[in-house]
Amino acid sequence: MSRNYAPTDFTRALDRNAADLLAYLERRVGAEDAADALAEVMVAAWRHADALPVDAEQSRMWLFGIARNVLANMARSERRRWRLTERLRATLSNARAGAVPADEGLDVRDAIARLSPEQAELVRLIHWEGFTIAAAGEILGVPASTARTRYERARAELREALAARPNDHTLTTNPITRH
Amino acid sequence: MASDHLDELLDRSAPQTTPITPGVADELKRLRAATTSTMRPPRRWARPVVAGFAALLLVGGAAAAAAAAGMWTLPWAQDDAIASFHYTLPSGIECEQRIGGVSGTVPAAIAAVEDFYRDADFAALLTDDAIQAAIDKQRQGGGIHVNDDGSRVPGGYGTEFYNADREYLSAVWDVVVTAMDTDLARHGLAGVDNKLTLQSEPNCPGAAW
Repeated sequence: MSRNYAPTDFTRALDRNAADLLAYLERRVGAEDAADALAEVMVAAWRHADALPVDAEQSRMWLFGIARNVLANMARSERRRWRLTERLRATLSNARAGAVPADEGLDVRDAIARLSPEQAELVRLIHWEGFTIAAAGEILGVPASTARTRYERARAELREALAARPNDHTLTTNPITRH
Repeated sequence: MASDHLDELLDRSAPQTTPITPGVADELKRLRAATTSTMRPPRRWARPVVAGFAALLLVGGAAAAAAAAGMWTLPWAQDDAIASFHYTLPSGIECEQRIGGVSGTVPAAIAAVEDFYRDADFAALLTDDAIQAAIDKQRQGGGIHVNDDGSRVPGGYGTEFYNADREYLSAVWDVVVTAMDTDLARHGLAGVDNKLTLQSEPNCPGAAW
C-alpha cells in the first residue's frame, strides 16, 4: 500500500468520506452518538494521518477501519460528549426533524442481526456501506477468500431466513453476484 | 431474479440516516477543520531500542490499571485539567495525558507552572529526538524493580521486567517535566517552593503495563 501523507490529501479524504462515515456510525450507534463518534474518528485519523493511503478507495477503507476501531472502543468505555460536536448534533437533529421516518427492512435487519457478528458486519459493510466483498474483508481484517466464504454462507442463511417470511417465497439459491 | 431480489432486500434494509442537508455538510467540514487544527500534527513513530521500568513511579498501582482501562481517576483530570496532550506508545496504543493538581506554598511558582502547561506546545516538546534522549538517559541510569515483598532487583531493558510502553510513557513525562523545570529556572523560580507538586494522569486504553 503506497503511503504519501500530505495535509491537503488528508483533509480531502475526510471531507470526501465524512458523510458516509457519519451514516455508518449512525447506523451502528444511533443518531444521538454518531456526531461524537465521528469526532473520535477524525481525531484518531488525524493522529495517524501519515498512514493515509494515497488511493481514494484505499483511504476510504482506511477511514472505515478507524471508525470500526472507534466503535469497538466506544462499546468498552463510557460515551463522552464533545463540546466540539454540539453544533453538529443540533444541526443533525434539525435535519432529522424534516425527514420521514421509515422502518422498511426491519425484518431483513433482524435476519442480519441473527447472523454471527462477523457475518452480519460483513453483510452490512457490503450492502449498507457499498464496499466490495474484498474491501469489507480488509476492513474486518480477514483475507478476501475468507470474506467470500463468510459472505456466501451469510447469504445462504439470510435466504433461508427470509424465505420463511409470509408473502415472500421468491428466494432460491442462486450464485453470488457481488465481487 | 432471486439473487437480485436478495440483494435488493439487503440493500434496502439499511436504516435510514440523517439527510445530508447543506447545513449538515457545512458542520461536517467545520468539525473536520476543528479536529485537525486543534490537535497536535501527526508524527511518525520511531520505535525505541530499549525499555525500562521507571513509568511505574508515574502510574503505580490503581492509577496504572485505570490508565490501561481508559478511565480518569483523579478528580481534576475529569473536568479541570490544565493541559492535555497525546502520544502513541510503542505498541501502537494511543494515550491522552492530562496535567493538573498543581499545589505548593509559593503562589508565583504555582502560577508559573500552570501558565507554562496551559500555553505549552506539546507537539514541539515531544519530538522523537527529545523522547529518545529521555529514553537514553533512563537506560544509563539502569533500573530497579521492586518485588511484592519489597525486595529490589535489577529492572529495565534486558530483564524480565522489560516493557517498552512503560519506558516510553516515562520518557514522555520526563520531557514534559524537564521543560517545565527549565521554564521555572528562566523565571528565577527554580527551587523557591520545596512543596511544589504537580500531578498527571495518562489514559492509555488497552495498555498492559
